[in-house]
Amino acid sequence: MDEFTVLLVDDEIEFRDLLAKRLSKRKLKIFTAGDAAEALRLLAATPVDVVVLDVRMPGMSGTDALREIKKRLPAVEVLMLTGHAQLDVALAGMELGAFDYLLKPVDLDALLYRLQDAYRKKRLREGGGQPLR
Amino acid sequence: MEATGAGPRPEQGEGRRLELSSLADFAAGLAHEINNPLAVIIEAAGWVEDLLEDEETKSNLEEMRRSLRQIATQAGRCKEITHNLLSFARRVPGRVYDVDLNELVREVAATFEKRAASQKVVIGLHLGEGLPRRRLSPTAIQQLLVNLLNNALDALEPGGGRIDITTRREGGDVLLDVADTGTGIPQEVAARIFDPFFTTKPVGKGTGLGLSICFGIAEDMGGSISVDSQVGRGTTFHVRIPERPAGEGDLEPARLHSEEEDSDGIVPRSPTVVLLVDNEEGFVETVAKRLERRSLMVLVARSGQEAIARLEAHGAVDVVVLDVKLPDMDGTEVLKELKRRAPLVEVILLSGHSTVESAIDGMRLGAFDYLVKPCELRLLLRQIDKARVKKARQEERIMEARLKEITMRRA
Repeated sequence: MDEFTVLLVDDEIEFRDLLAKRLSKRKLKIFTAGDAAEALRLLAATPVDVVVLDVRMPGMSGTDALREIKKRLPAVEVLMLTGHAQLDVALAGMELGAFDYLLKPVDLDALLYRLQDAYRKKRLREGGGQPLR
Repeated sequence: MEATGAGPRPEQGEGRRLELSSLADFAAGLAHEINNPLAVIIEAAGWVEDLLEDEETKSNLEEMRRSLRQIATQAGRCKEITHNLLSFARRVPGRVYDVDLNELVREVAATFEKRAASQKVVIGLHLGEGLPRRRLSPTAIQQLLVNLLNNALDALEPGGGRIDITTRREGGDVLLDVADTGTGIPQEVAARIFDPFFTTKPVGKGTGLGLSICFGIAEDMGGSISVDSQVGRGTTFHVRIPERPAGEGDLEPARLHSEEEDSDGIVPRSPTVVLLVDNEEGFVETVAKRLERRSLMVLVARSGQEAIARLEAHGAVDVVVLDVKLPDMDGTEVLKELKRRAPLVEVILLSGHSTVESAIDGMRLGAFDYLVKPCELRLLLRQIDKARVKKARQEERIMEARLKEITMRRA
């Protein structure tokens, strides 16, 4: 699998940073943001393949953030992280074009597989570019 | 803008109760609150595992240490949630006493002075004179005050400001107001502030249970709590304590120690010797001084080991006042050791809100009573007196038994 770029958006700094370290160790290029506004700023400046988005954050709600990301950068895939009690939010997110949702606390391997799937989907949709290995 | 907690208006009170009893919402909030720290714990543990796979483990040691500290911190967060949950469920043992609300306010406010000063906050007390005493659980009222003051101080960050606590009479009721000049609460938020797990504090800072606990306390005593707030101007919480608080008779649970003894009757032959075991500097000094002024003899120990040594060295300690949280030993362990060495010594436990569980364990191990800090000095004095009387009676009983034994042997 290619090295691809992931943006982690979560206000739980400790969680986000640990996840970033662990995913970096698995050869992904990781950026982080603490809220939706920061994520949008970063996305405007940096090419990112997949966004991992906690749906429960201060400021802009997760679904609003998702809508905004998909509007500005339709090619970016978004994986949502939700609590067990937020299946309605998860479903709303899927309708808005999220790639998938995972329940927190998430298993790292499961997250990694879904990230790879999301990236693969993005590459396929883009066609061209580098051939898949 | 005003939001009412429990209230005289029945339709509102009922609506609120329904909301509180919404088990699904409650469970969802709880799951979320606990899942967040759990997620960090899982990742931190995973990260240590990742690092252990590396060849050169040495250079990873600091990273591992950091992760382990994180695990401990986050587990602590979980613990705080469960403790708050416990007091939410049980609202802390509610023994009722004749309470002087003003004195309680003064004591609690005093414990906040340091933090207030460091945050550039002035706490003003406006305590009405001649307030009738009420049969209330001092522990519950303390908890209510502590929660309201904590919130007020948070609302005054970072610029500082004022907190004004007012007590007054209105008809037969007693009113308590806690007002701050802080950020204020937006209307859409005010409607939800008494809901369990609702919080606007940053991650890890609030469990969202404080005000719902206050709500429960107000409701338990048949009173009410409401809020007035203006964004940018400040917030005032109003607590109404009714003329006859609910549960006057029935709130008193079966006491864990038996007889409610009267201190009349036995006159102490010599001053009561109290061993005060606590490592909170300011607290120890103040309490020791105040007990001495009341002609008690006070010995001080600042750790469990020191307490045991002191007890053995002095030999005539009547009552031990023991904080359950000590630097070197678990409070219940100290209690056990003291009781093993001097079975007749009575022990009064002091606990914080978060250590009430060990105080309750202590009661099972034979402590005379426990008090939750900050506690009214008068209450502490009364319990010391009662404990001393109980010990004196016990000693008399033993003396009588011995005398009887001797006379029987002679006969």
